Amino acid sequence: MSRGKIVIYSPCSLLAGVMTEIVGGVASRVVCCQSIEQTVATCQREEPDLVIILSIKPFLNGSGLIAEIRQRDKRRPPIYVVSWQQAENVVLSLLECGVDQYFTFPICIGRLRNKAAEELKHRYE
Amino acid sequence: MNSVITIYCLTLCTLSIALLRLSRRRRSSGREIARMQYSRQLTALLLQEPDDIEKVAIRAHNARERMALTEAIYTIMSHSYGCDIQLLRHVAECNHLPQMLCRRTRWARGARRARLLMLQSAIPAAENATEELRRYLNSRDSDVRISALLATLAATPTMAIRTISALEYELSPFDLARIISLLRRGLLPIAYEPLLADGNNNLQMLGMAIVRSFGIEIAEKRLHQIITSERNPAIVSQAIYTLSSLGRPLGHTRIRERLAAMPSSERKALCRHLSVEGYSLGAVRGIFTEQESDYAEVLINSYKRALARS
Repeated sequence: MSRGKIVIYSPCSLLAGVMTEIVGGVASRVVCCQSIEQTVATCQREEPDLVIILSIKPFLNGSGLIAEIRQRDKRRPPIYVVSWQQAENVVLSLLECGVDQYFTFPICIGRLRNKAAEELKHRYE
Repeated sequence: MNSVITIYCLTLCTLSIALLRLSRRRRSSGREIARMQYSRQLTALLLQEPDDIEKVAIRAHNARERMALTEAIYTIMSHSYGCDIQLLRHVAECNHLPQMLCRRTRWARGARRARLLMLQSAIPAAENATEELRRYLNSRDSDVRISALLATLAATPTMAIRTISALEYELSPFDLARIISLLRRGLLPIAYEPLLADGNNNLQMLGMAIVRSFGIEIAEKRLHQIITSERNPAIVSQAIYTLSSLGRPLGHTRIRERLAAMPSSERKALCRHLSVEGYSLGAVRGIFTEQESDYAEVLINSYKRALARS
């Protein structure tokens, strides 16, 4: 039986839908957010087991997004970022910010699903 | 009397515009819902990996639904790799999507034609469609011709080198980035060596873009050969940029000679690039003049650079 909650942030609803379908089978609940304020509020309310952010735009203004997401959740949910950026300095900066995994588009949908499943399994073991 | 007629006409115009907007909004929201449903259905199918794809039944019943299905396939194809292409091909053929796209492209113009051609890069082309795609390869509209090139490359990947070498214009960095995105989706072979060795400028540029994108360090020797023997200054400049993106030393005598022959504006741009790429001040001083090195020092010590480093 699938367990766990996943929050997805994507400004594009179509891409969020595809992502929901990919990770939907491994989680009991998936919430899609289209704004970053909504994502932070949802994370603070729902206490998700995994957060997937499909853009690096929210990180560019220097705000402490990761800290805000993990503010109330002491279980420290893992954060995955998926984006088109390949530049080494961008990826390193994201990892230094506190991002746990960085994926570059195009992604292998099977691999992402397995990765999410492993993450949830690890948290519930 | 005249003012009454004017008011009547104005009201009629406003009402017509409002009705038109309302109908457009309804149509677009309907298409968005259909697009979302199709993208979910397709993703679920791709994850299931059905044994018999002939039994897969995703149907689009009208033109709007067919367009929504096309966009859903494009979204999935452009954001993922390793998908079951046969399955997507089956869905596209069942719904006559390649024929629809060809027909619409013929009648469309400008940005709309470019968009339809871009969609064709994800939908397998209809039989005999490649010849039609080739017609747009030399279009005056740069958006149309790059989209047509992507669609042609996706339809006939084995002919990629021949197609690119036959182009009558130079590919821009943006065009190269779009070809690289096709390559990352696994639709084109990643063979950089024949591209670097080719005499065609576009192929050489593409080869260097592949080396940069995938960080292929073993291409260093070949890049040095280009810098030594190439006559075209644009190719030499790109080869130096490619070497710098790999983080390789640039103190070779031949590279210094080539740099000395460059216009001052290009040298300044390269100096700026090397500072951002993380080359040390010593390395920069070794290949640029004192004045240019001072400029690099200011950049490296600047507030922005300090922020980027922290």
